[in-house]
Amino acid sequence: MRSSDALKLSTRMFKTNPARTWLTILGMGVGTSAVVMLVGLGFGLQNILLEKIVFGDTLLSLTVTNPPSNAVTLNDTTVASFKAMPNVLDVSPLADLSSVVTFNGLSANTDLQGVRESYFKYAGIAMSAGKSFTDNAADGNDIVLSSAALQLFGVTDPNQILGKPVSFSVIAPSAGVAPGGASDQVPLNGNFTVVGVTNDTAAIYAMIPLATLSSQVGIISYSKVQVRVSASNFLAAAQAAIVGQGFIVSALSQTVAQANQIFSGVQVLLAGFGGIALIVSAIGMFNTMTVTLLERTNEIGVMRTLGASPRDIQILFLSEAVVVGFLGGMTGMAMGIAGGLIINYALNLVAAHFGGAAVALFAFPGAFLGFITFFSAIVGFVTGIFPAKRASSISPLEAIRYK
Amino acid sequence: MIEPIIRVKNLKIVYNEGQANEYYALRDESLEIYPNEYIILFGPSGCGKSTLLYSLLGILPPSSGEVLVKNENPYKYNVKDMVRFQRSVVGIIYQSFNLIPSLTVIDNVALPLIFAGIPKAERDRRAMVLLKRFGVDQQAYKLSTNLSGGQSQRVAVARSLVNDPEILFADEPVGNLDSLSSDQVMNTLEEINTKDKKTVILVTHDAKLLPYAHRVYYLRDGQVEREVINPEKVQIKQTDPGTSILSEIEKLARIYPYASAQELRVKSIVNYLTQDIGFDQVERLEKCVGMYIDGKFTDAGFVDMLTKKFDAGGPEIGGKDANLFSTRIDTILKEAREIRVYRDNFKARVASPRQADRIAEIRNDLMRECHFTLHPEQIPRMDELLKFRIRGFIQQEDMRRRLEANFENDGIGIGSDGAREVSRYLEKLLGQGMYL
Repeated sequence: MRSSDALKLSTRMFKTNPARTWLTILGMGVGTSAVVMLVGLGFGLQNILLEKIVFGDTLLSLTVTNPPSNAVTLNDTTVASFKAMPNVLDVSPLADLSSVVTFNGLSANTDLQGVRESYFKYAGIAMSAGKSFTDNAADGNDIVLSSAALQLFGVTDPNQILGKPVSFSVIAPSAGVAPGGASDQVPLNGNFTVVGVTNDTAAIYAMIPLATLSSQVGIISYSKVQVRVSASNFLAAAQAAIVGQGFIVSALSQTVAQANQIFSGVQVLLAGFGGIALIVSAIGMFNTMTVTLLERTNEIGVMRTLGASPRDIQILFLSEAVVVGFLGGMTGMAMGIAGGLIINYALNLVAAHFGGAAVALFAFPGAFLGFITFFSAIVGFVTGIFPAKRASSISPLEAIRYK
Repeated sequence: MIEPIIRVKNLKIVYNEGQANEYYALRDESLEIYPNEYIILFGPSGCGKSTLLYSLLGILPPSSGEVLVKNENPYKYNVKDMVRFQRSVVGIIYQSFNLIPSLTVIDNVALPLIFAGIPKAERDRRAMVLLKRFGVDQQAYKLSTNLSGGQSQRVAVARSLVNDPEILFADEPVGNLDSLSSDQVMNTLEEINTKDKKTVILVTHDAKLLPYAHRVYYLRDGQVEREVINPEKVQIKQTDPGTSILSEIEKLARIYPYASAQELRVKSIVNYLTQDIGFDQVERLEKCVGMYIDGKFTDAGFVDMLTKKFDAGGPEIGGKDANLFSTRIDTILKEAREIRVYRDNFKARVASPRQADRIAEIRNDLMRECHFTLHPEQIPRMDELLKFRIRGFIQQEDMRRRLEANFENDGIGIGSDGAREVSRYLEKLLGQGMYL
């Protein structure tokens, strides 16, 4: 039998029994839509978390910090040793000092971080306004503030502070005094201009080109170094090597992997709940197929005496089950996506009313929808196996005489 | 010597063997069917004829014995060979047509080709040729549920032929059809046998169909009771001269299809004892009488027909008898009409003085025909009795007893023989009147 004929023969139920066929499809659809909606919710939540993380350079960077014991310290020598490691593409240190920042006549304590242009990429720092500075000498007096720092000066719109002058004095240990002893405020020379504001609303800091900082203040050690490896499979080796030197290393990629793992678990759980609905629908469909089998018994007998092989009969039943399952999957997808979007829209309406930001609570990745399409056809197929087996093994004579 | 296309050897089929409801559908059946033969398996329901058919079709395995089709045992086929057998060797039509209701007529016909994987254009072409041939091409694109019974069966015939099988099985193919459609389908099958040279094996309980066959197997209680060769057809199975002659018993079998050979012999003897004419003459006489009471002959024409020589196709009744037949039929029909009118009036509660006259006329006719007379005091009682019988208040047996009983005992008193004769004649009139 040709597959086009098999398809034609196995879609007759849309003509002979449209109501029952569509109800069966709808049943499968409701089950599938439960899965689509719940797993879509899982994907949505995952996206909400992960969309804050900048991918690419950030994921390929290790963050190296000093150990609490201070047995080893990050300094130019260690930074150079990191850079010399195999598969390490670049390193970008961060030197930080306590400082007082003055803007518009107001002064406040802040953390002054000296970094290079590349640090922004490797650390995944996102700007809420303006831009970060470059390593060019012309940008030597450009600085970046964190959103939290703006609040010190009562600035709410980050764009207002862009291009405004600020000045710094660095709190440096007094000359000849051991660390932890008395310290002096040393003003930094230069007219610094705010060029960017980061989206960090928690930490108060100002970022200044490392070259500018080191030209005015002696930098003995760094508090953080970003080590960029050339590819993700070298992350573990580089991490092990640096840990071997006594430093503390964390990788954003690990955090992301952990988050993803947790969300996979959440999705499996959600899919499990949806799966229960799907099983109920599949049982309903199985039941329909069994009734169809009884109804068609006579027809099966007739077909068998006309030269249909048991396999032909099996194919007819299986393709019918697959068609119903597949269409159920399609219907379910449409219902699930529509349901998710409607719920999301309603939640966002409520959120907007209370002044919250709009979020996309549901997400339906293409691969997932592709899988559901395939999976629903498989569910249909599995549901059809038993009736198809029975249909093909029934004796033609009994089938003809069955009324 | 032609080889049989189907050979059945000691075939036994037992349903539910070994269980309490064990049933022997076929007991030790043996027969041979030759290529291009038209065979009828004939018998009452439950005789095993369909069981035999389905066993030959390859879907009812024998309990013991052997079925050979083209010298091969279909029950030894694997699935692939079985499918080939069903696709190219056998075709079947059913009493209930068994068309697939959800498919169009042309798809129904092409269904065997669909399973054989023939491309659509080719199978539609072949199906259309057959639909045209059987005059149902106008319905080709209708759903099969929209056909009449006769059309459905012709579509089913087309379906059974689309694979060009060698043997066509037909299970009571005209059992659900009116006589016109039935004739059409039977002529189609005949044509398939003679023109297409297919072996046709037909199962029926309808004796009307027997003349179509080369040979008829009479089945009863799971056994072939006898095999009858149709002398009107040129036989394919070769028999030595004299092995079978067409006797009166075979002719009788057509009239009494369900009678056993023993019963037919008895009928033959009783006919000889009680009637002056044989079954052949009776048959022709019946035809003439039929036409006469339909009003197709004048009295003279009827007598002419009756006296026609046997060789010329007439019943060859003597001239005197022929005249008598004519007048007696006239009388019977006339009195039957009186009875009919009387009953109609009675049922319609029409009170007419003519009703009493009708009874009197029937009474006088009875006296004339049965040669008896009544005293004046018997007449009112006789009329009363006739009224009761004609109205249906008393049965034939009551009537006879009252005719026989003495006048003192509320009877008429015309004696036992007279009572039987009068009662018999009156029943004839009644019967005619009822179906006039």
